Amino acid sequence: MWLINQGAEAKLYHMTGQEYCGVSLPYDLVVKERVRKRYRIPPLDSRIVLSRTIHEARLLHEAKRAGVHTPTLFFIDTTRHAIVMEHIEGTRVKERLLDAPRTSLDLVVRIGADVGRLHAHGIVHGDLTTSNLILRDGDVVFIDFGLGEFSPDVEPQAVDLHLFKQALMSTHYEMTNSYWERFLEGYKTTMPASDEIIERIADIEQRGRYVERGEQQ
Amino acid sequence: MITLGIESTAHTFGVGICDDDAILSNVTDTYRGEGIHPRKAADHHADVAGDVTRRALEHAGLCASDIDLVSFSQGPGLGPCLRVGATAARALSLRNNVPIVGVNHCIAHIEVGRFLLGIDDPVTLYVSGGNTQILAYAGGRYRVFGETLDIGIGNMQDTFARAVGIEFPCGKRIDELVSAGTTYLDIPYTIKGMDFSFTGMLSEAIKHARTHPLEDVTYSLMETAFSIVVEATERAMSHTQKRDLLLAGGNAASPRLREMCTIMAHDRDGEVHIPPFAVCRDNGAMIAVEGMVEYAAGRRMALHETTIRQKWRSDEVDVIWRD
Repeated sequence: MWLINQGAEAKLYHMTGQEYCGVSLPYDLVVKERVRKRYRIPPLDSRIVLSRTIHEARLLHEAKRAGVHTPTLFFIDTTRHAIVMEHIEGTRVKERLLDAPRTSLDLVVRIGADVGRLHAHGIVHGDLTTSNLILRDGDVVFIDFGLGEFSPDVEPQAVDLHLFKQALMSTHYEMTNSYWERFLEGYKTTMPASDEIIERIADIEQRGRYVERGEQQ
Repeated sequence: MITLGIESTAHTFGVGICDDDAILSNVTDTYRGEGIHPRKAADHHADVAGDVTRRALEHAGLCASDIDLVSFSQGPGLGPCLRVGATAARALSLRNNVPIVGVNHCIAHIEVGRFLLGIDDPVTLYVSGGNTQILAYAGGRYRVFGETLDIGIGNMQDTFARAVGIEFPCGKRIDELVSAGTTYLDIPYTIKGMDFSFTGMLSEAIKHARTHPLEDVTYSLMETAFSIVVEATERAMSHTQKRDLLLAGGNAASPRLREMCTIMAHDRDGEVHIPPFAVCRDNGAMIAVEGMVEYAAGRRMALHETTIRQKWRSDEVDVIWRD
C-alpha cells in the first residue's frame, strides 16, 4: 500500500485487495479517502464528507453510462468515507502530449468528443486538466470527479471548457491553439448544444475579475 | 511621519493616528440602529466627526499642526458615509496644507495586521458585516481568492438576530447562544470552489427557529457559516502555499471562529494571527497605517482624485509598497 497523493480534500491510496479487505483480487485498487476536518463539529463534518463521497461516486458511474471511460467503482466505504475503485495503469495525457506534441492531435479530438459526451449527459467534470486524463490501451480514462457536478446548464459547462483551455495554456502553451481547435472539433461531434456553450466561453473570458465594476463618484 | 486616518465606510466613524513605528491613538464612534440606513449613519458621522478627531489628537498628545499626512477610506462602502470621511479628510488636508491619500478599506485591514504583528505574507480571512473575503498577495495585487456571492457573514448574523428577536447589537448574545447549543440541525452548506453564499442558510435557520430551541438554531447556523469560510480559507492557503493566516474584520471577534481557524492552521502546520479587536473592527488607525505605507512607497493624490469609490475592489489596487 502506498499514498499516491495527499490533498486538503482527500488522501489517495494504491492498495491490493489483500491490503484493503483481506481478499485477493486480480486487480489493484485505488482508495480515495476524504479527509475529516477537526475544525468542523462531527455531525456536520460527517454529513459533508459522506455526501461528497457519494456524489463523486455517482458522477463516476454516470460518466460511464455516458460512454466515457472512468475507473470502475467497486465500493462506497461509508465508514472510511472513501470510494474504492479500479486502479488505472497507464500514462497521463499530460506526459503524452508533452512527449509527442505533434503526433497526438487525434488524441485531443477524442478527448473533446468525450467531454462532449459528458456534457450531453449533464455531467460537468469540474477539474479538466491533462493530469486528470489517463491513457490506457489507447483509451482515455477520466479520473478525479471530486469537483464535478450534475448540471445541464450552459454556464457550468462553458466554465468546464474554459478551465480546460486554461490548463492547455499553462501546460501545453506551445500547442494551445491547435489543441484547442482539435478539442472543439471533437466536442462538436458529440455535444448537440456545442454552439451555445462555445459562445459562452468568450463571455466568460471577457468578464475578467480585475476590471473596475463600480461606477466612480 | 505622523499620519491621521479617517474611517467612515459604514456604521463606524473612526480617527486613528500613527507614526512610523506605532499606533498612537484610535478613537471610534459607531452609529447604533437596527440594520443600517446609509443617510442616517452619514448624519451620525457628520455629528461626531469633529469630536472624534479632537479626541484622537488628544489621546495621541498632538495638535492638528503636528499631522504630516491625512488618509481616509475611499471605498468600498456606503456612499453617504464615505462622503463624510472624504470631506473631513479634504478639509484637514487643506487647512493644514498636508498631503492627502485615499486608501482601500479592505486592504487597510490586511496592512494593519502586517504592521502590528510583523507577518510577511499571510492569507487574510476578512469577515465583517458587509464583506467576507479571502485575500492573498500575488503578482502585485491583493487577489480575492474567495468571497461571498451574496451577503457578508456579519450581515447574515444581524438579519438572523432581527428575525428571531435578538436585540441589537447582537454579537455577544450570538456567541453565547453558539456555545449553549447542543443539537446540530441540518443547514445548507453552500461552497463553490472558494466562493460561498449565506442567504440559503439564513432562510433555513429562520425556518428552524419556529420549531427548535434558539440556541440549537444559532449554533447550527454559525457552525455551518464558519465551517464554510474556514474550508474556503484552507483551500486558499493550500492553493497559494502560504502558511500564515491573518484574521480581520468585526466578526474576527467570534471565539468559535478563532478556534476553528486555529485548529485548521495547526493541522496544516500553519499559524493564525489575530490583531487586537480595536484594529480588527472598522477603525481609523488601520487607515492611517495604510495611508502612511502607501505614501512612503510614493503614492500621491491630487484633490480631484479623492472622489469616493463605493464598489472599489481590493484587486484593483496596485500594491506599490510590496516587492
